[in-house]
Amino acid sequence: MADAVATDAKVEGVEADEDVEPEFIELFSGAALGANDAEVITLRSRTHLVVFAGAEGSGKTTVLASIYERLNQGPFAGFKFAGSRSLLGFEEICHLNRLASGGVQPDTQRTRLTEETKYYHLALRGVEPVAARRDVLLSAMSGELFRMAKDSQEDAERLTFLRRADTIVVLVDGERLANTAQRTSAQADAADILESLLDANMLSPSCQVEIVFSKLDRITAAGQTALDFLGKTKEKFEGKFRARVPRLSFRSIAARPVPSSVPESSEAGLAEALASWTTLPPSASHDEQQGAPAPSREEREFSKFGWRHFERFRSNP
Amino acid sequence: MSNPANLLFIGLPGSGKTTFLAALWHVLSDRSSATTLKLTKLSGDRTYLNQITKEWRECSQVPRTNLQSEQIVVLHLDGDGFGSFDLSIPDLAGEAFKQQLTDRRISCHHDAFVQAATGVMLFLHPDVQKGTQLTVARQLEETLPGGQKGATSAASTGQNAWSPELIPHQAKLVELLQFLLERTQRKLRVAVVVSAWDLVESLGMPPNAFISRELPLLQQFLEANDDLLEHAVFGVSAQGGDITVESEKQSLLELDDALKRIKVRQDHDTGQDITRPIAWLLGGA
Repeated sequence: MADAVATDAKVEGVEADEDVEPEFIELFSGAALGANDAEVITLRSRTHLVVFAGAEGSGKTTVLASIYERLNQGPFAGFKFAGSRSLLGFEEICHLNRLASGGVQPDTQRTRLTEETKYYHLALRGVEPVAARRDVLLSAMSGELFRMAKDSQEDAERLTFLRRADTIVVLVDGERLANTAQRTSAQADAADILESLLDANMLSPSCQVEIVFSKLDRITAAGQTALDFLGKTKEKFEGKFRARVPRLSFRSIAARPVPSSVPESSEAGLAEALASWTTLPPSASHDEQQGAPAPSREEREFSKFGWRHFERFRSNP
Repeated sequence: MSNPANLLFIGLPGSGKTTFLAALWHVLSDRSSATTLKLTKLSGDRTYLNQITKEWRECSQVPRTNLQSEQIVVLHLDGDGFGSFDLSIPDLAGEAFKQQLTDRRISCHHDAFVQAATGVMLFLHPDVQKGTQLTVARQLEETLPGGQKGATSAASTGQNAWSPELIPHQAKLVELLQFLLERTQRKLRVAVVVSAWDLVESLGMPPNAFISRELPLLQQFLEANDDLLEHAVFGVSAQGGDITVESEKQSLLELDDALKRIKVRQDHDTGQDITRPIAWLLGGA
């Protein structure tokens, strides 16, 4: 952590009356990371990139915020919190779920489609005495981006970082899945995202893809019919994608359950999920994407999280 | 010639840095108690130390250091196994650390103290601001008698926009330590001092258990970075009680020796040696 930012640190003179004003050294911003800052982390150490993809309201940012909130309460999923370059970013997305927000209902700040993709950094260390430290970058991406990527090469370029992702979590909105009028759309939205990723050839062969049914408490509360539909959705995804996505798995979680609905199982569910999302497969543990063809220089250059696009996007809004 | 040692006191406003310094100076200059470190001689300008210690002796609120009144205190000390040394402690304003968190920059003046630090004391007041989740607050509310319900519903008058000032204490302290690691890039000893320990003594837990319970993110950060930060946790009662309560203040003033106001706890040991955290920072056990 220290290395990365020391190089960025700069001394700044303040105001015109330099004789009186002190000079300052800039510190890291602590906000959610933009492309360049995230890249600094990936260049410094092997960093696990986890991307949450899903339709609006499917719970992407809620899962992300919940992981940080659980770490705020103590070691979680077998990890201790070892630091973050985006502590303020995490705090900001947790704000609407905090008493200090003055709100009444827990809520999460929505990811805006037009924003540059943000990355949230966590340094974690296993609770075992000799465990190594690992860096994790988490990012939430709207499903709309993936649909646009299917239709336009230019938009696909915005998502080139996905080739670098170790884990892609496609969220299926459990609340919509429990609603008979909306459940087919919820199922189709998630399938669409995965289809778009495959069509645009944006998944690396070693990437773990997990279909996650969010808001499990709502599905459970809706009864057996909803649970049966969840089972059918899994079958449908298996049939449709298994051949093309070797590392496909399924999971159900309730990241922020309604109080007293299923707290214990949801706690364990999110913990298991985080442990799984941040574990490298045996074949890729010594070197990233072992067994996969080495990317060309051009591709390596380009696949650094799609920075180029973001640079362009930022300069020509 | 004495060896130099430099300590850095870090903490938000009101975390007890100056009160600790005032009590420390009283103990050292009094010379009558058994302390690990002892004063060898008086020298230099002691105006500031005498001023803050006078307030402490009278059980008055030791004035908070502001950005204009920052001072560097130099103490000539020795102790068994330590030899003679000059200990330099800048009494920096908590406001400066608060500004580091919001402005995301450190003055070169303060950075020089960071670079020179032999050890760091991180102060925190036990009345910590937590990031209580609405779901947790609502669950707690359910357990309250009817009249006390509604803290998260009816009493809410609207939403507060997010700002860095709203983040919980534990996140602020982790961030201050991250700044420190960024600037020093070397292994440091950190003595975490829970000040006003008398306020939480009745909980019956050692200081490290208190940190673990009340500031778990900070505890994890310290443990997970043990290759960079060697830490120990102390509970220090420098005032001896709540001096804002007149009866408590009177009881403290009536003690036959002001040294009895001081309590220092590490793990399960409680004593009156206020130099103990400093001795640990300088390499003691």
